[in-house]
Amino acid sequence: MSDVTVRQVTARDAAVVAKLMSEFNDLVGADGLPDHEHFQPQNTHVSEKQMMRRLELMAPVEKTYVADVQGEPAGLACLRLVPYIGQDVPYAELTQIYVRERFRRNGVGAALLARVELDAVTAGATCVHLITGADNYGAQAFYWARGYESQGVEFEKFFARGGR
Amino acid sequence: MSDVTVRLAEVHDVVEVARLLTDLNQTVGVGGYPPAREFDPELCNVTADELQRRAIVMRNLETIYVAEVAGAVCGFVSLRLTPYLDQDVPYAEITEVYVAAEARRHGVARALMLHAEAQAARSGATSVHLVTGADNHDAQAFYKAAGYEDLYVGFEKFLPAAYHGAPSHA
Repeated sequence: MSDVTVRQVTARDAAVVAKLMSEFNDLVGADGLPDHEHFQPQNTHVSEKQMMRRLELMAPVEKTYVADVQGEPAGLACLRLVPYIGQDVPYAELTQIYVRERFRRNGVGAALLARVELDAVTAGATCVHLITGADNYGAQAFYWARGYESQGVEFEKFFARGGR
Repeated sequence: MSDVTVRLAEVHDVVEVARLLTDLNQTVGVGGYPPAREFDPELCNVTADELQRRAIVMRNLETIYVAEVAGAVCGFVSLRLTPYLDQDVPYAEITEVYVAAEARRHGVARALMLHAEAQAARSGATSVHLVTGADNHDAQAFYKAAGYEDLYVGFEKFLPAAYHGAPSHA
């Protein structure tokens, strides 16, 4: 396996994060939108300026990481660490994880996940939560193999769909 | 059915909401802990002081709303709105919703959900998320009837603190 390094990034790294996120959106569709809007370019493409603002807003509650392989960005992950009603320790959630196609099967995902778990432990969290597609069996196998258990079902209601 | 009012929780609701949260914990277990610990009374029992402290640190991220029937608080919902990488608008998640056993089947949960959804929409969010137990079929039927789709599965990994006792940030 090639050398993988994981670094936490900030708004200064918006260009690389925007590029990775746009690629990710092109593959899986933009989050939070109903099917017919998932793959529309205005939803999947994220500009550097947009990403800079998102990273600035996220800074107090969510850490973003980029994995590099031989100096080239290979993937990203995000860890949300928020106070919550359930406990005095933070709620930790892996909200993103993406590895570029050509860097897969090199331990990049595992390295990102390990860093997220380490930072969650350091923050005092008792658990890392995540959600993944009900039909994304590849991702589910990856999590099972790394000590995750599936106990929940995640529901989403789209406002645009006339639900309210 | 009696009229249900939903409003922002205030400081004077802390005792009632702590009691409801304790009931909820005793019913479904405390999130973030393995089965061997999730019903530990020390984790399940939430005091008014603890809840107030959590509400203060949650400020600007997660908001609690309470339902009243005939002037008595009988349920609550908690809505988290956070910036995230995916969109310029916030990620909205209903993190808890609970109605006291004696107040069920009167539309209280539905009123709480509608209120939280309206607040999420007002923030600009395009959808609202929630996670429920894979074996909680009643809750799942309720969410589907309320317009939710089950698109994802939730995974958890318990970290060493879950087994060795979490440090308190008091």
